[in-house]
Amino acid sequence: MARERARAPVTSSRMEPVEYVTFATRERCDGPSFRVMLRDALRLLESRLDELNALNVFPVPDGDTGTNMVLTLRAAVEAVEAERAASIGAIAAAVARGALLGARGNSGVILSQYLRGMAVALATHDLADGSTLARALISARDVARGAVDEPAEGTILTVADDVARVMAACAERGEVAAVLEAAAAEAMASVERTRELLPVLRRAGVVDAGALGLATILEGWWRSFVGLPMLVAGAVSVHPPASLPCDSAADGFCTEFIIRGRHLDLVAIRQYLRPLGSSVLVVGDETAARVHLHTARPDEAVALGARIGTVERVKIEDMAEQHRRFRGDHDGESPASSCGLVVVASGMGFARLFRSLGAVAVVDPEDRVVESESDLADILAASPMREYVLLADRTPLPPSVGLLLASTISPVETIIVAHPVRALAAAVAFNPARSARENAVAMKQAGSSVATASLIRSRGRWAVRLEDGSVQEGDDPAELLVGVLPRLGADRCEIVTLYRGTGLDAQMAGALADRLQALLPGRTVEVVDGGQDDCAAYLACE
Amino acid sequence: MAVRIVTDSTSDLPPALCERLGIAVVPLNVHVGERVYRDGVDLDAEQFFQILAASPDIPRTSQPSPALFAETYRQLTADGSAVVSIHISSKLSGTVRSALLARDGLPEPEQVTVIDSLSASLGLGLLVLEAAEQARAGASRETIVSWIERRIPMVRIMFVVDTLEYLQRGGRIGRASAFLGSLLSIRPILKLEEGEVQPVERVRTRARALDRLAEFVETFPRIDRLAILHGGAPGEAAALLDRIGARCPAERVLVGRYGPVIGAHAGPGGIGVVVLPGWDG
Repeated sequence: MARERARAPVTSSRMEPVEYVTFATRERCDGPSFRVMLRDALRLLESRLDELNALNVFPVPDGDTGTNMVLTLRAAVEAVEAERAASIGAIAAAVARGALLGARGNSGVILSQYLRGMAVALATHDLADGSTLARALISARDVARGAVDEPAEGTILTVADDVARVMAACAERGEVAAVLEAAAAEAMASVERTRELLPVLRRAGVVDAGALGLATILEGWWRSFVGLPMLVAGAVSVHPPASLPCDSAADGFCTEFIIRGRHLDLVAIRQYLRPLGSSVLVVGDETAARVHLHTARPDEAVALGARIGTVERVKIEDMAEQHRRFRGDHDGESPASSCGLVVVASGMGFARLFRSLGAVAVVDPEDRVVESESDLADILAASPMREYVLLADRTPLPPSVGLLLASTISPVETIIVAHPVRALAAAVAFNPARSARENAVAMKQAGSSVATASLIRSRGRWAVRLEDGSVQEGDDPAELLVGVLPRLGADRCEIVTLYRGTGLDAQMAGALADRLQALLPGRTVEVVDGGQDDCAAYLACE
Repeated sequence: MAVRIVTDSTSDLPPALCERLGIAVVPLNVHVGERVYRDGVDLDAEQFFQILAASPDIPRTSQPSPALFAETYRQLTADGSAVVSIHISSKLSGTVRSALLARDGLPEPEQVTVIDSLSASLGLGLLVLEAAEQARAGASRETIVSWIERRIPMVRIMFVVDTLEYLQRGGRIGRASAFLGSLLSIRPILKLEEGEVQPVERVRTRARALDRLAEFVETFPRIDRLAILHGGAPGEAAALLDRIGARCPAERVLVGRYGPVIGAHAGPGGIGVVVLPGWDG
C-alpha cells in the first residue's frame, strides 16, 4: 500500500501542493529524487503501453515495443528500489544494472544502453546539477549509438541524438528543471519528426514507437522533478493502421543468443553478423555477449556465434508469427488469457509442491527442468501464457530462466525471496486467472508472512539456523526446534510445518512433529516432504 | 393489490425475520442415506452439521418439487395478490426450474414472477430482504422486479472454506478444482460470481483468510447492506463483524449461519461476507 502511494503523482518526498517555481529553484538532483523520477516515468510509460504497442511498425510490426520498454524500465526501477545508497551515481548504476538484466527486445536493449550511458557519466557524483545531467544525456546517446549497428533515422536513436544536441547547449549552465524540460520538449518534437524520417512510418501515418517511448521517459523525469502531474493522455494521437506495412519481409526470424568466451570483441562480432540481417545488437562484456538480430538465416548467425565462443540460450522466433499474434490480440482473439508460474527451486519434494500449486515448470539450480525431458523454452512454447511470474528462492538465476526473462514476448514479473519456504508461501498466493502484476503483489505479501528456521546436521552435531544468520548448536534436534519456536512467533501462529529434507527420515520427522504438537495445542503441525539436500529440515510458522 | 415475496431455504434468512416480513420460504430437500429432510423445517443448521460429522453418507440436496411451489403460489395468490419468487442461482440448483414449472401450471401464471438471483445463501437473502421491505412499503410488483433485477449483478459474495473436501465431492467447484488441488494443505478463498463458484486466492491460515475478507469489504466505497455467514464459527463471525460492521448501519447488517444446502458443499467451519454495494459504489 505504502509503495503504491509513493507512486502517486505528487510523491511522498514532496507532499505539499507546490508551485512549479518551488522546484524550478531546486538546483541539484540527488539519488532519492532520481529514484522518484524513475518511478514516475515508469508510471507514465505504463499508461501509454497500449499506444506504444499499437504504434510498433518499425523495424518489425510485432506490437511489443511498448511492452519491451516498460519491462526494461520496470526491471531498472526494481533494481533501484533495492539500492540503499543515496548518491545519484549509485542509483544510476543500479538502474543500468537492472535495465541490462531485464532488457527485452530491440528497443529494450537500446534503452538499457542509454541508461548505462547515463550511469557512466554520473558514476562519481553524489548530486547532479543541470550541466551534469546534460552531459549524462549526451553520454547516454553515445553508448546507445555504440550498441546498434546501422542505426536507422527516425527511431529512438534519432531522439537520443536530437536531445544530446540540445543538451550540448546546456552543458555549461542550466538548472536541473530547465535542462530536463529542454530534453523533454526536444524529445517530443523529435518524435513528431520521426513521422517524416522513416518511409514506413510516413506510409502508416504514425510516429516511431521506440522514439515515443524514450521521449515519454524524458517527459516523465521532467514532470516528476518539477512536481507536475503525470498526464496519462498521449501527446500524439494514434490510430493503428489497418494493415501494418512491413519492410522487413526478408528478415524472417528474430534471433537471440548469448556468446560466452574470454576476450570477446563486441564490435567485431557486430561486424561479422551485419551481412546476415538487420537490427543487429551486440551488448555485454568480454566474457558474455548478448546478441539480437533479425535475419532470414538464423542458423548461420548461430553457427557464426559458435565459431567465436560458446553459444547459449538460443531463441529464434518467426516474426511473421509474432505479427499475426499481435494482430490476433487486437482482433480480440487473445491466444492465452492466463498467467503462468515458473519456479526456481531445489528438492524433488519442493518441486512437486510447486507443481501442485500450479507452476508450469520448476527449474533446479543446475538448470534442469524438474520432472521433464523437455527444456524450459520447449515447455513454454508448447503452452504459451499471456504473462509469467518467475519465482526464485536464490540468485543467480539458472541460464534457461534468464532466457525466459530476456526473450519471451510475454511480460514477466520476477519475485526473488530469501528462502524456499518463503517461495512456497508466495506460490500459495498464485492465481493463474490474475495478471502477473496482481500476482506479484499478492505473492510478495504472502512470501513475507512466514517465519522459518533451518535444521542442519553436520558431523554428528545438530544446529538450527534462523534467517538472521544466528545459529544454535546442540545434540538433540527436538530441543533445538523447541528452542527457536518463540523466535518464530509460534505462540501467535496457526500452522507449523516441518519440511523434511533427504537427511531426515520420515520416522524421525514424525517424532519431531509430535514433540512440537504437544507444545502447541490447538495448532496444526504438519510434516511435508521437501526433499532438499542441504538441510535436514525447514521449520515454518505461519 | 399486495405483493407477496417467496424464496427458498438456501437464502439462509433467520425464520423469525421471514415471519416478521411475511416472506414465504420453500424448503429444499436434504438427503442423508435413506432419509430425506426438509431444509429448515425438520432439519436446522445445528442438526445438519452434527449429521455431517457423524454420517458416512455424503449428504445431497435436491430442489423442491414443482408441486410444493404450486401449492405455495396457489395459497398466496388466492386473495388476488401478486407473487415475486426469488431463488438460488440456476447454475447451482434446479430450484428455479421447479418454480417456473409450477408457475406455468397455474390458472393465471402472470400472477407470479420467478427471478433467478444468480446468487445463494445470504447473497440471495439480502435481495429477498430488499424485495420484502419494498413490498411492505407498498411498491408494485413491476417496481420490485425491476429493482431486484438491477440489484442482482451488484451482489458480491466472498467466502473461505475450511476444507476442500465437501466442495469437491459436491462437484460444485467446476474450473476452480485444478487451482485448488494441492499437496500442501490450503484454504481456498472463493467468490460466487455470475452464479458460479470461482476461486480468488489460496491461503494457509484462517487469520489471513479473515484479513482478506475484511480487505474485500474495505474495497467498496459505499455499502447498502452487509452480511456475514458462517458454518458454526460464531466467535470468528463476531470478530469479523467488529472489523467491518461499521461500514453500514446496524439494521442493515445480518449475521447468520449457512444452512444445510450451502453446508453440504462448503462443509463446516466456513465463513464469508456478502456485500450489496450502494448505488454509486
